[in-house]
Amino acid sequence: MHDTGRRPLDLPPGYPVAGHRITALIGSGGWGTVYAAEDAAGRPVAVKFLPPGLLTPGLRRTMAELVHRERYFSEAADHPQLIRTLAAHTVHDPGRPEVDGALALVMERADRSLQQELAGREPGRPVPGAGRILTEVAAGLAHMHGRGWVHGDLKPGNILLMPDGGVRLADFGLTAELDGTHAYTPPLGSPDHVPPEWWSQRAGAQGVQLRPSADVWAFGVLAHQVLTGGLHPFLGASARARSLAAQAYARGAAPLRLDERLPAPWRALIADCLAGDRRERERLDADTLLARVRAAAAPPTTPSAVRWRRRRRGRHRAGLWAVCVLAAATAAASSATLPPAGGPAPPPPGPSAPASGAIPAGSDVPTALREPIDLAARQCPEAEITPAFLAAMLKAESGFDPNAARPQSQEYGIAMWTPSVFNAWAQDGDHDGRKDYMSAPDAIVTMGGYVCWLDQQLKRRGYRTDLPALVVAGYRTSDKTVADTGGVPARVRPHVDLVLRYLAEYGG
Amino acid sequence: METVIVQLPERPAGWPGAGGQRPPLLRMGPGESAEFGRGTPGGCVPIALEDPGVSRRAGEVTAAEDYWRLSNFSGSATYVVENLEGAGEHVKVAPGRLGAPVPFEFSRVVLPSVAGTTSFKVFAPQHAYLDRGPAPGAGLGEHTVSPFALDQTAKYFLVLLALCEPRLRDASAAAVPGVGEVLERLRALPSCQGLTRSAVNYHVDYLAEAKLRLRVEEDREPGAPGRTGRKREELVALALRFDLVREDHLTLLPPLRGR
Repeated sequence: MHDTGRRPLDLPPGYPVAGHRITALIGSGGWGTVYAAEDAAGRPVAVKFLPPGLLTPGLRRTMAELVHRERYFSEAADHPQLIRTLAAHTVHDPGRPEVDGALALVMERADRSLQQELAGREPGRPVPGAGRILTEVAAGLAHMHGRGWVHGDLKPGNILLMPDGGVRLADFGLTAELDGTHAYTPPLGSPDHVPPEWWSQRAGAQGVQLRPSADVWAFGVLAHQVLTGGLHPFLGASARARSLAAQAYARGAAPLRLDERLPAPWRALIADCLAGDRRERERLDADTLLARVRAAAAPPTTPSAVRWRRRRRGRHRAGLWAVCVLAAATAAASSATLPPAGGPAPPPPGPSAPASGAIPAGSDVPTALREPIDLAARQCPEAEITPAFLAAMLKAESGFDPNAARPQSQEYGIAMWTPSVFNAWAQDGDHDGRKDYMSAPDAIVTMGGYVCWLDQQLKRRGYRTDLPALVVAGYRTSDKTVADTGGVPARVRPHVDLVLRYLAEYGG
Repeated sequence: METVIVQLPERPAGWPGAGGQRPPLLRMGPGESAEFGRGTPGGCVPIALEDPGVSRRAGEVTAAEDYWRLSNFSGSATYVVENLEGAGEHVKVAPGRLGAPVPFEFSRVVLPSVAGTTSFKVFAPQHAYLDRGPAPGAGLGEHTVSPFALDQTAKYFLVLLALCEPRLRDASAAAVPGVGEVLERLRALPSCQGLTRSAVNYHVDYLAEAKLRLRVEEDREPGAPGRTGRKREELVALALRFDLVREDHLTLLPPLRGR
C-alpha cells in the first residue's frame, strides 16, 4: 500500500568513496546500507551509507537526527569494544540521486554480526566463545554508560564479531547522551530487545525517554540468546508475541521462565537484567554488570564439574530427539555474587554460600525425587527457591508420599495439589505427555513454577525478608492472604515452622 | 502495556458519580481477566452491570496478547459483540462459550436485559500493523519498529490526518485545524456523515491517551475554551515528526475543492 518511493542503494563494485573502493554489498539494515570496501593498499573496511533527504518532512527530520547521532557517537567512540569510525564523508554525486548527499561512514570491517552467528547455531547450546562475547559486550556497555551514553539499540545485529575474535558494539543511530537520569530518542526500537515499559511510556514531540536500564534489559535478552544458541527468554513465534509475553511477565501475570539449561551464575544475572520493574533493574549498573559477567564467564574451578548430560524425552515427542542439559557446577554459582567494586551495593542476587540450597547427599530425600526437585529449582531464577527448600516443602506436605491424599480438603499427591489449582499451573515434569498431580515429577516441577511465581509476587509487593516462610504460607493460602495478613497467617504458622525446620536440616 | 481497556457502563442519572464526568476505565494487560455481571451479594465484579436481568456472574473479558476473549457464563443468553466501526459487523458468543476471541479494536458487548439490552465498550488499542514507515524493507536482521500502531482504516486515523493536513500540504507552520474544521473536512466522506463534534473530541482523546500516549497534562475542565487545543498541537507535532501520517495518506481525505 505504502511505498516510500526509495530504491535500495545499488552501487557497482569499484565505486569510489572517501579514498576507498566498494567491493561488495554486505547488507541493508533499517537505516542504512553497508558495503565492503578497501583502501588503495587493499586493507578491508566497511562503508555505511546513511541515506540523504527523504520524502516527507517528518521522515527527513527523523533521519537527519539518526544520522547526526550515528556520526556524533561513531566519531566520539574510543574504546576497544566500540566499532571504530575511520572517516565520515558526505557523498557528492549528482549523477546518482539515490546516493547524492548520503553520509558515508568508513569503519572497521567485521567478520560477521552476532545475528549471523546465532542464525547458524543449533538452539540449545551456547555460541562458541559465549563468555568472551558477553564480557566484551558488557565492557563496551560499561564504557558507554560511564561516559553518560545509552546505546539504545543493543541486539545481535548490532554486535559485530571481528576476524581476531574480538567483539564491537555498532550502530549508534539511537544512542543518546544522558541529561540527568534519562535522554530522549525517537520512539524506535527493536521489538525483541526493548524493555517492557518501552511499549507503554508516554511520548512528547522530542521523543521517548531512554534510560541505561533499557540497555541492561537488552543485555539480559542478548545473554540468554548467546548462551542458548539463539533462544529468546520469552516464548512466542513472533517478536510481537514475545514482547507481549515480556509485558505479561512485567505486569505480574506470568513468572519468568528462563531456559533450564542456563548455568546457575548466568541464570541469576539474566534474571536481574530482566527485572520487570524498571526501578528494580536500575539497581544493576553497568559496572556491576560487567563484574558479574566476568565472574560468570570465568572457567569453573573444577572443569569436570561442568558436564553435558543427556536426558531422554518421552516417547510421544516427535523424532525422539535428545536434549542436552547443562548441569551447572554449584561451585561456580558462588562467583555470581561478587560484590561490586564501589558504589551502592545491589541486593544480593543469589544464595550467599555455594553449597547452600543443594540437597545433602545423606539426607532422607528419596533419590528418585532429586532430579525433578533439582529441575524444578533450576527453572526458577529466585534465590529462595532451592532444591533444599522444595524438598523441605514436600516433606512437610506429604512426607514424600506420591500417593498422599486428603480428600476432605481436596489435596492430592506428593505436593498436595488441589486439582483445580494444579491445572492452572500444570507442567509435564516426566515428559510422558500428561500433566498429572499424582505423578511425582509433574507435581514437583509444577510446584517449583508456582512457588517461583509466589516468590516473585511477594517481592513485587515489597517483601524482602523471611521470603521462604512467606512463600510456604502463600503455598498453603495465597500471596494475597499473606499480603493482607502482613506476614504468615497464624493458622499456617505450625506448618511454616515445620518446613523451616526441615530446611535447616537440609542445610538451606 | 495496556492492551485492553474496558469502558465501564455509565451509571444512570441520579447515581453517585453520574453526569458530567468521563466514564471510568478498566485497563488490562496481557493475561489479565475481569468478570462482568450484577455481582454476588458478598462482593462485586470489576465490570458491574446494574440491570436486574443480567446474571450475577454473566461472563468474563480476558486480555490475550493484543486482542481479547469473551466468556459467556449464561446458560441461555447469547451475547453479541458489535464492531463500533464495522457497519453492522458483529460476533455472536453462544451460551457457555468460553474464551471466544474478538478481533475488533472498538467493540460494544451487548447482553439481553429486562429493559431490552445492556452494554459496555471494550477497546483494544494495541493491535499491531505491518510497519511501512521509515525503515526500508530490504535487509538482513530484525526491523526497527515504532511503538505506535495506527489502523489506517479507522476513524481516529482520519481525524489525525485531517489535523495534520495543513502541515502536510504546506510545511510552513500552518495552524492546526479546530474540531469544527475537522468535522467539516471529514463530513464529505460517506463513512463520516454521522460524525459529531463530540465524536471528534472523543477520537482526539483516544489518540492522545491510548494510541500516541502523549505526555500532556490533562486539562480536565469540560467546556473550557481551547480544551483540546494543546492536545491537538502535540498530536500533530508527534505524528509528523515520527512520520505516523504522510503525504501519501492524504488520498484518504475527500478532494479539496475551491481552496
